[in-house]
Amino acid sequence: MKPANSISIDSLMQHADSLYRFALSRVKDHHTAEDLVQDCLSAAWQRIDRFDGRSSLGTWLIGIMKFKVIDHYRRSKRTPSDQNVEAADDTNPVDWLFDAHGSWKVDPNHGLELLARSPGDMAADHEILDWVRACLAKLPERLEMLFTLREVDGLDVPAAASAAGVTKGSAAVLLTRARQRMRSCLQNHGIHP
Amino acid sequence: MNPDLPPPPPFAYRLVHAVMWPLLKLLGLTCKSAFELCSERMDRELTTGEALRLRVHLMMCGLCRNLPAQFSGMREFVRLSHDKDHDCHSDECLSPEVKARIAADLETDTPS
Repeated sequence: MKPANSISIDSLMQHADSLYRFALSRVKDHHTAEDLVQDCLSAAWQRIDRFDGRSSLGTWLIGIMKFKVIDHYRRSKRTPSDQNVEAADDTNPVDWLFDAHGSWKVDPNHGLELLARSPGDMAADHEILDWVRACLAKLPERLEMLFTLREVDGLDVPAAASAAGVTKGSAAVLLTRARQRMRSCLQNHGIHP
Repeated sequence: MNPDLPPPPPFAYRLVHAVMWPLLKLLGLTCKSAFELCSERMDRELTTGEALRLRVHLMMCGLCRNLPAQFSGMREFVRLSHDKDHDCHSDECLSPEVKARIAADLETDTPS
């Protein structure tokens, strides 16, 4: 018997909250996130015979949700050139780290000791993870979108750039800016042992 | 100027780089180049020349040596922060009404 035959609406609905949190962490709007959950579960139910049980049901649903979120980004974006202006309309956070000769003006390791250790061991430390989420939320919207698509969802750079509405050429620079903003924010908090 | 800037690098670093910067810049081995290459390495495979420059820089610069691990660690922390499980006492869970509506809609859908 195929695993799909044993999947009921109830078993799909058990994943509704985790799908909602996934969507909300990316679109930041409760109503949009609700709509995405509905679209995702509806698409999953329509194609339930394609679920072969090789991954868990939750993983399969999250995979569908990723496509729904990317579709949402694509539908809602403005033109790439507009987005680049928006993203570039800020001081480059990398510039104030270095002097004119390319040497550090600040200690790059201060407050980031734990980043270079084993984050997996820190998974139980909700305070640190909450701070990481807070730092992520402080990124400008497009940077956060691009950074999340790349770092969390694992999209390659062209796909992440397309979904976030930035040009492929600017994506590398924007990702470096996002990483530096995250480092600075975490440094201000101090990720200490 | 950011008021929350971290402290300056150690004196020994500043002394060495005050003398060495022309050579480092000439060879493309500045700390800024290393920082940018460490970030780009998270997104693409570096060319042989870029990888060599980065490796040489990391061998001789103690301040930059932790950058690759910091970038990898940050990626892992960000992923963990998204995976973090929440209890449903916050507004980060669907309301029972919305769940009932979605379930009712699914009942009317027929799997293809």
